[in-house]
This record gives sequence, C-alpha cells and structure tokens, in this order.
Amino acid sequence: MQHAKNGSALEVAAAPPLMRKKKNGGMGFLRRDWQLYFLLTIPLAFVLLFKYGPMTGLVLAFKDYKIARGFWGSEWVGLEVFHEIFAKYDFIRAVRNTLLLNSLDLVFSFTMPIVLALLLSEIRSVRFKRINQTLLYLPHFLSWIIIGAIAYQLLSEGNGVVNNVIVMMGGERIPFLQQDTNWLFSYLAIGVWQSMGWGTIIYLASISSINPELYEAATVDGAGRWRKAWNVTLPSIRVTIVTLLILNLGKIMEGSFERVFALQNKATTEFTTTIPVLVYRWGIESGDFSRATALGLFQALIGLALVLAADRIAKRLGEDGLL
Amino acid sequence: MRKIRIAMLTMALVLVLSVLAACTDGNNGTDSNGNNTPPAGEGASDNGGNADADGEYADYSGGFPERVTLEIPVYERAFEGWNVTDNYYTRWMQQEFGDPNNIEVKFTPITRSSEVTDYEQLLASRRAPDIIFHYDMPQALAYYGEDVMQELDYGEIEHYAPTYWANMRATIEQYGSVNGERVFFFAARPAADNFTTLIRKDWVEQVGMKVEDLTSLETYNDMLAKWKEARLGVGGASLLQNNYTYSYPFREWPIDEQERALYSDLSVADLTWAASERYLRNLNTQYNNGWIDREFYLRNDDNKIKAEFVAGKTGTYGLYLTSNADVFAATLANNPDAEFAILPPRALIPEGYEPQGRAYWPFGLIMGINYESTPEERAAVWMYLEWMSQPDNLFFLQNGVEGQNYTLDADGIAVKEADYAGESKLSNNNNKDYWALVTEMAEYESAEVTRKAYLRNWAPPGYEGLAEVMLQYYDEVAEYRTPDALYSVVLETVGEYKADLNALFQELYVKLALAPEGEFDALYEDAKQTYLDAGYQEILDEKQQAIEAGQYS
Repeated sequence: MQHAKNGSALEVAAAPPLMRKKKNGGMGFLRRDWQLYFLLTIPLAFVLLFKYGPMTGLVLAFKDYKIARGFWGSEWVGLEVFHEIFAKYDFIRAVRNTLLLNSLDLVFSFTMPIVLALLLSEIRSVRFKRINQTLLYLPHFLSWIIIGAIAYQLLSEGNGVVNNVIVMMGGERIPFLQQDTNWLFSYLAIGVWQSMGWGTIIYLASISSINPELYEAATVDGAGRWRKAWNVTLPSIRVTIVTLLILNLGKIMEGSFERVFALQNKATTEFTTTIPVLVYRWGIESGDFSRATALGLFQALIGLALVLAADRIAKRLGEDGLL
Repeated sequence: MRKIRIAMLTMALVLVLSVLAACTDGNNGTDSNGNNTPPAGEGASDNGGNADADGEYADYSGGFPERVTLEIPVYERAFEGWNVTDNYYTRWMQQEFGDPNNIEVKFTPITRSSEVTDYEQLLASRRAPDIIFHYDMPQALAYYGEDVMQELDYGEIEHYAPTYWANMRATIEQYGSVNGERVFFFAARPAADNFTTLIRKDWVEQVGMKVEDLTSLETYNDMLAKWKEARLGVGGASLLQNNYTYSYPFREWPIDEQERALYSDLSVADLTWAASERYLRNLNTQYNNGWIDREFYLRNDDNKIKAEFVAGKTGTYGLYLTSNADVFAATLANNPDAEFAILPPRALIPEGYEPQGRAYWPFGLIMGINYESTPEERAAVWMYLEWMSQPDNLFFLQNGVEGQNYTLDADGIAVKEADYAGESKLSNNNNKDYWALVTEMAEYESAEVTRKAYLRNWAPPGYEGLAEVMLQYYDEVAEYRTPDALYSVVLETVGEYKADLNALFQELYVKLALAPEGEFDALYEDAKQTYLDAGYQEILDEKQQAIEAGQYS
C-alpha cells in the first residue's frame, strides 16, 4: 500500500516538469534545476580529475617509459611490455595467488559481516550493541603496518605472546605465520578481524529499513528468531548483498598490497607473490613503470570483466544487478 | 537528440580539460624539441652570471645574482632525536656556504634502508635532488640506464671546484665514464673500514674456550653447539638483502679472475656458484642444529638484529664500530656481566679456505647530476663540493665545535666528548651523511695520525681495545680482499632482472636454510634451475659476452 501511494505521488510530481520541458526547449532542465546540476559538477569533476585523469598514464603500458623522456617522449613499443610480463617467472604465480587470496577473502571476509550484522541486529540492549559495534569498527582504523607488527608480536614462533602462553601450558610452538598453510589461515583470520566490523555498517543500515510489519507477521505465524532472520532479514537485504558481492568481485584481481606486505615473511612465500606485490616490486623498487602499468592494466581489465559477468549472472538469476 | 549531443560535448570538453590539467607540468619531461638534458658544460645564461675570461663558464665567485636552490640528498638513518634536514649543521652550512653564495641549501632525506625506492619515487614525481648518489656501482649504472643523469663537463668541475677536482680527478677520469660518456663523480675512500662483528666474550669463556681459539668455521660451529648446550644463546643471523657478499668466505683462493667477474656481484646473489652452495650448506647445518637465530629471516633491519643481541638471545652482532655506539650500554643494562670481543676474521672461514672479503672500490659515494638540474644548480653543486673540500669546513662538519664536541690532543686529533648533548651535537655517525659527498673517512695529514684518529673515533669509551683489534684484523686479512669486477658497459639484464632475482633469492635461500638436511641436495638443484630460468642465466650470458670483449676491470 505504501509503495503504491509513493509511486502515485511521484508520478504527480513528475508530470508538470515534463510539460514545462517542452516549453523551455532543450536546455530547460538545466535552467530549472541548475542548483542541482551545479552540485553534481563537484563529484563529477572529482571523478574526472582523479579517476579518469590518471588513466592517461596507462599509455605507459605501451611505451618504453624513461623518466627523463616523459610520457610522450618515451618510445612506443606496442604490446611488447605485455609479452614481457606474461613471460615472467612470477606472473602466473602472482595471478594464481591473487585469485586464491581474494576468493578465500570473498568466502570469509565477505560473509562474516553479514553474519555479524544479523547477530548485532538481534541484540536488544542499545548500550551493549553500541559498545560492541564500536569495538568491532576499531580495527578498521588501524594501518596494516601496525596490524602486521602486532601480528608478529602475538603470533611469531620464537617470541610471540600466544606461543609463549602455549609453551607455558606445556604445548608445542605453532608457526602461525611461518609456515605456508598456517600463514594463509592467519592471513584470512586477521583480514576478517580487521574488516568485519566495518563491513556490517551497510548491512545494519539495510536491516534497519526492513518494515517491522514483516517481523510482526512472522511472529504471528509462529516464527522464532532463527526463522525470522532466515526468512525475513536475509531476503530483505538480498539486494544489498548482491550489489556488494558484484562490487567485491571486481576487486578479486586487486587485493590489498599493504596487507600482504605487512604480514609476509621470507619463510612463507608460497602465497605472498600477488599482483599488487609485483606492481610494487617492478614499479617502485625497480623503477620499471611501464611493466607495472601493464600489469595494473591487465588486472583492471580482468576486474572489469568479472564485474560485468557477475552483473549479467545476477540479472539472469532475477536480481537487479548493478548496471 | 540535440540535448544529448550538447551533454556529450560538455562531458567531452570537461574530460579533455581535466586530462590536460593532469598532464601538464608533472608528466611531460620534454620541451617542444624533445630535449630534456641540458648540454654538458652549458654556461649559465639567464641568471645574469658573468662569463669568465675565455667565456666558457659564468663567474659566480661573488655569489649567484638570483637565489639558487640547491637540493642535496642526505641519508635518513632514523637516528633518535636527529632531524637530518634541519639541525645545527644544516643551518651552519646555510650560513657559511649558502648565504654568501646566494644559495638556498635544502636537504632531501633518502631512507638508507630503502634508498632506491625513495629515489625512484622522487625521480618519478620530479622532486629528486640535484645529486643522485649510491654507494654501489650496479645501482649507479641502473640510474644511468634510466637516463636520469646529465653528461658531465670535467672543465666545469675544475672551474667551480678546483680543490675537489684536484683531490678526485684521477678517480673520476678512471671510473667516471660509461659507454664513453662522462657521468659519475665520486667521494674519496681512504683504505679503512669500521664494520666488524662483536661476540660475547663471557659466553665464549663460559664454555671453556677463548676468542683466539676461533680460528675456523669448524671451531666457531663447535662453540655455537656448546652455547646451545649451556643454554646461553645462539649465533646472530639476519636476512640477506640488498648486498650479496655472503659467499666470500667460501670462495676458492687464489681467485679466478673471470669466474669472479662472472659471479661476484653486489647487487645479484650468485646462488648457482659453488661458493654459494658451501655457504648454504653451512647455514642449513647451523639452522638444523639450532646454533643460530631460528627466525633470522624476520631480522631484516639493524634494530631487529641489535634487539636480539641486546636482549642476550644472540651472542654475535655485526656493526659499524663507533665511539658512540649504543649497543654496549644497552646490552649491559640487560646483562651486567656481558663482555665483548671482536670476532676473529677466520672464525667464519672453513678450514682450507682463506679469509676473503669484499674490497671497496677506490671511491666512496658514486654521484651523478640530476638530468633536471639547471646549469646554475649544477654550478652550485660543484661550489658546494669545493666548499666542503676545504679542510676547515670538513673538519668542523666531522668534529663539531671545539670545547663542546671535542678537544684537541697533543697529536692535533679531535677527541670526542662522548656525553656531549648540547645544540651542536653530531649525528650518531659523526655527521658522515653530510661530508660523505667528499670523503668516506676523516683523514689527518699523516697516515699514523689518521690511524690514531680512527682509533679514537671508533673506540667506545671503556672498550678502546676493540678498535685496536679490529684494525689489526683488518690489516691481517688485507691481501684477501678483492673488489667486484667493474664493467664499463651497462649490463641491461642486471637492471631488468635484479628486483625479481633478489626476491626469488631470498625465497630460495631461506627455503634451503630451513630444509631438513637430507633434502638439501635435491632442493638446491631445483633452486639453481629456478633461479637460472628466472633470468640469472641471461645475466650470466650478458656478463660472459662483456668478459670476452674485455669490458671489465
């Protein structure tokens, strides 16, 4: 009923401008709503300057870039740089690791905020809920370098606090960060710890907008808390979940450089060579900006393809999609 | 339709304008003619300088007519309480050199532990200082290969910096050219070194040995085994990175010139060489027996390595010995009975081998002029080097204020006040990062006085004997020190693969060190092949060609 009411109100409101538009000619909409269009120019300029502007740098991927010769003075080399990076020893490994780490992240770091948001929404005491939320948000504000240092203080095999406690209790030291498989689990767990609180914000907002009548109806039908969460809350925030899932799929070829960089060590290198790490090594450490740009471009294109594919699949499954 | 067209046109216009805005200034290093490097020897023209008698170089002896900003790089070593860009001495240099010459002397901090990264970022953002420097030739050549250095005019250096030129001319003329192009100038490097390894003498004696007994790697390993048995601690160890000199003690003697030129390279580890295999096999044994720091691969900076020694967990520690080294007091605070000695050089040498080590090339910092520096800034660089080459200025920078930082003894040597903490306090390495542009070591008029001065500067109070022993060991093994080959051509493959191979080497060597002893042989064979395939074979091939063409020394 509410939707129907709103819909008709919108239609009524929309009618007069349509008529006026004809009267004022093609630019009428600009004259009428110029304040809104003016406001729009700010974010638009921001996006153009800081998102599209730097894209001119992508030409480096097709050039033998020399700092001294500048963007346009450097020699064009076509796809040679791409051939070079595809032939590199670390390239395949980096693609594999990036996909692996981010897929696992998608499974754990993406789902945990949903679970947490469902749990938080069930807390009745407002004070207790706020304290919990604040505590859960805090890790998001810590830099990965700090988190890395804390992780090694706590988890390192030789001196870590956790291992010292294990030894005191008569156990054996566990190489949480110094053995490949363990490192992978620690990497994921630390990632979940760092991001899950912050990730709940959007879901909590979405949950708070669910019509209470649905819960009341479910209660009347005899549904318990689990049943309400499963049959009311989750379906109601489905659109948000799908949208965030599509956006996260676009990042599956990216991954956090800082996170790998801060948590890596040379004894566990099986999973630590990722695309961002290679971009850093080639671009910043070696000064080979062409190679780093080509890799970045490759990564972005795969990311774009994944977003488009996910969007299409979502639409086929009956969801709204993103585009 | 018209509306859409107009909207599209507006969008396109904004896009183009923003792109142009993003591209101007910062990203295009060329002028309309495609030139970016000022021609060598170009005299100042637009700054009102007066050309000298032959009209070749402008005369700035009275200072620049317009203020020139000179940007000098300085290593940032994170010394506690020390601001590298603004301190008593930077202000003094501005006052004594900058102001009279109408030059604004600005210092650009370069993080010592990640200097290449810092330089690359500064160069890419066009904020690099006027001097581009590095201690090692392979990286200096890499900068040259990136075209970020100007070609030099020796006449110009001589004109603006006659004292500096007289001091360094022979070195510059011998080593300063690449592919026939004059690009590098240098700081002097007197033959001396204060890098050494400390050992806990009390631990050695507690296991019934003497430091003098450590005459081979075998006896050293025996001692480590006894330390472990007595639960005293382990040998210090750290992650190999940046400079690859680890295999010297395991190399054959006498050296094979061509083999040395092929494998010995500061910037790329020689993983496939037999000397490396011997090194790795020993490391593997030490690790598996629990004789060394089991988390050595986490110790990737000096503070972490030192922390283990100070805490009494490790019994050896490599450092640059200076009179103000804080490691002694810190260790004693935790272990009041600690005693220190210098590890004899043969303690790390397997029986049947000689105590080889890397000799420095006969120069200190290798420098080039930033390709973006103007002729005036270039002239200011030479004037700065000239000013710093004056003995009085150099002495002040090295020693500080008489009566505060030091007192002169009967030999005319500056004896440091170790506890001085006033305004003119020197940096923890005696301001070396400023004066290293002209020399690597402080020198006096005679070799004997210089040696005495070294001892005073290097001897921590209460441990005077350590510096003496260090110098004695340095002299004893002098004949076994050899430098890496210097190539007179740019080795393209080194620049291309260096960063990848360094990362791969660390991965492979840590894996080999941590492997069970029985698996070492198979893993090493695999590691060699992986390393060769990842680009090392191409480096060896290119080097071999250069060796055959005689393009090395």
